[in-house]
Amino acid sequence: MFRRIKGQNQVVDLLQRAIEQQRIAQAYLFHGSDGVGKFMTALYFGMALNCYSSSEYRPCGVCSSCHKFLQFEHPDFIYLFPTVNLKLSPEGEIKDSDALKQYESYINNKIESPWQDFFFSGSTEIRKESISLLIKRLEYSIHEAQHRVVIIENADMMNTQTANAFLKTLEEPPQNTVIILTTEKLPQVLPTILSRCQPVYFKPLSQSVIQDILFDGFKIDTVVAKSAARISGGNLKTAIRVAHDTENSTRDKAFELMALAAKSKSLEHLNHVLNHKDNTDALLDMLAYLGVIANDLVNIHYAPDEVTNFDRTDFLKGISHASIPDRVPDYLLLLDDFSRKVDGNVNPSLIRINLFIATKNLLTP
Amino acid sequence: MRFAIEKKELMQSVQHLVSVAPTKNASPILTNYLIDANAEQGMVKITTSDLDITVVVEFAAAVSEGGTIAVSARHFNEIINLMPEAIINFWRHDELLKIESNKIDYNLLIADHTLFPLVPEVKLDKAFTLDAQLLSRMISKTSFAVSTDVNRAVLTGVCWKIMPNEHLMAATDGRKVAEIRIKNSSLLPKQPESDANETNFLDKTSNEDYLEKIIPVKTLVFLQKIMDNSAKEIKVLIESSKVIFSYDKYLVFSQVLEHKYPEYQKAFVTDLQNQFVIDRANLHNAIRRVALVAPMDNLRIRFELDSEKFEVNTSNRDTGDAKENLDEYNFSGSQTGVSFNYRYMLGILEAIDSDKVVIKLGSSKDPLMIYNMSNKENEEITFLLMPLRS
Repeated sequence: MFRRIKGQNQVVDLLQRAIEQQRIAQAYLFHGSDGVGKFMTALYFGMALNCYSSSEYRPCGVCSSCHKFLQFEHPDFIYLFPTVNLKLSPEGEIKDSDALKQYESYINNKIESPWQDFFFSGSTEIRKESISLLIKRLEYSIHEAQHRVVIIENADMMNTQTANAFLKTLEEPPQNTVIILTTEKLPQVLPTILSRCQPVYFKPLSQSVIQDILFDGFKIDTVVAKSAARISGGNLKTAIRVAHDTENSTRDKAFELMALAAKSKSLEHLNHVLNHKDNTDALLDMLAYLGVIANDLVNIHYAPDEVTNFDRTDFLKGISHASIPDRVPDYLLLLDDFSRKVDGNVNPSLIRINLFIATKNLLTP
Repeated sequence: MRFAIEKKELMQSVQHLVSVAPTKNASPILTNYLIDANAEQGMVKITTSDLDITVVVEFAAAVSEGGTIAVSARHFNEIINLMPEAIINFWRHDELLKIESNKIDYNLLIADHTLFPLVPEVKLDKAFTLDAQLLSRMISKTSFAVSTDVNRAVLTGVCWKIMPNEHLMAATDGRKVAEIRIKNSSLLPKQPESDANETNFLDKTSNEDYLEKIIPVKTLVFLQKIMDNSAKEIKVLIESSKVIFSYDKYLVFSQVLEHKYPEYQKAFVTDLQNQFVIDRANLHNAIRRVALVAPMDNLRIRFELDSEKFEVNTSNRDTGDAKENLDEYNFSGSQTGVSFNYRYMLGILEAIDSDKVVIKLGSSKDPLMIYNMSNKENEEITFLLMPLRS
């Protein structure tokens, strides 16, 4: 099943070699951006360590050990992730019934559709109680596995105190225990944690890998898959979200904006901005789409085969003009700047107005 | 799967199990019982586990069809509990467990039993046998002293040390220690082949001549609950990562705490100059009376004594103070005083068997050592209580 992890061959090779040579570190830190397969790799690595199958293609995914791992029910598999306050009792019972429901749906979501993010209602972090409970459970002997597996997702979401409480265990876990931390924000992980782990870098997925996954796994047609892969920035989660976007409304909106800008219909756009309050996620997606379209405007001159939105070739040809190739680099930088501003909570309407003006300047011959 | 059993018999077998099954756990499968019916032997096995402790109970039933299912523990127990006294029928129909008795029908959804933690095969021929009452006694003398602090998990267990001719059980939370030694070589297996096994498992713990396991207090409390004189002996099998107890129809698997137990003996002081002997009940009552106004934060009360006067007192800035003078005691040594947490002292006094209690103490910084007036044959019980700084 390791082969089901796409686009991370280096990592898979490294881990497989570790298993073959029985040189397994006590702690790994999987880092890399969101949606590149860190958790899946961690889970499969844990499964491979405990798989009953004798073939070399471990994990098999069907033996009783793998089955329990895939249902997150293995007694020697401990999975921590940032949660709301669960009001854990010292015995590990979740006292808050509302939090318990959310906790269960988080796990279910992770099993059923790991490419979707589940959001807790409330602020989340890896809590002191969870870590205390983990430390306690690690003091008990192993149940049935060869290697006990601990996965701590988003390990950067620990406050300093919690991380410090965890250091000793991380440095010297009990025998046959593997701790895998995953994080998207390496610089936010305490250096004391970092130095106790073997870091493993997950690179962003290449466009062709994402395209293949969308095509094979989700039956998404080539045009959508191609543009989704382009704008995802190597993040499979984004790619799937974009690809599932109903009838590609964001892409259509991006083209609409282009069309309005090309015709300098500022007033119409302003009305649009005032009447539709889009959320920031949609705005970020639109910025990404505009980048792809701007790319296409250049490609249509020099490399017509590379055009992503080839169903809109006529429109692209219509609005492109001679000075576009010179202006696009600046435009792309501007788009980047806008996405940063969206993340920094700048008023979205303001950004949309500025975006329109920038697009208009780009398209005015 | 299909079997039938009298309600009373089933209730007897499962009544203790429900306390083990967790209800709000991160791992939903553990809220279930694993029910395994064996048609050839006419036996039904019910397993429950919360990972730290796994309990299997096996009992005879009229099994007409074998099979395995997992079903919600809480519902199962509650249903059985409210059933009228009659024969109850159980059978599996698709993904449902049907429970039927007279005119009552239940259909319970079943869970995926393959997810249930593995219950290892046990070969009890390597086990050694203990007197159940003795084990129960050892547990009751020590289990009250364990710590509840999750940050030091090792102290939440009871240390059980087996030496060639001695059993030792000890518990401590860093402020009090309870230790019981049973010096009786007849407790160990006499048969030559088990002797071989005995040395065999001793070998596993490298070159030390004893075996030390730290058993979670939860297991021991559960064992005490099920040891109801229905059988005289309990079989114990010690493996590297778990301890297995077999008692009557129960099979209890306990994880052990894999940690070195602290060397609590270092705190024992043998050359304390002062000693007094007093009636246990009198002292207990006096402490309870004085403690009514003891400070809530540190529960401090104080002994002041010499050969003329024995005063138990406390003072609380918020509420006031109290003192009680005790007589009828034998004191030897010089005048002294010591403060301590009264709740710990009451716990120790409740574990004392004899009518009189012997308390040895030194200065206000030395620990109190508490003993029975006279010990049972081959038995040695020691309690220690650390003082509070005054």
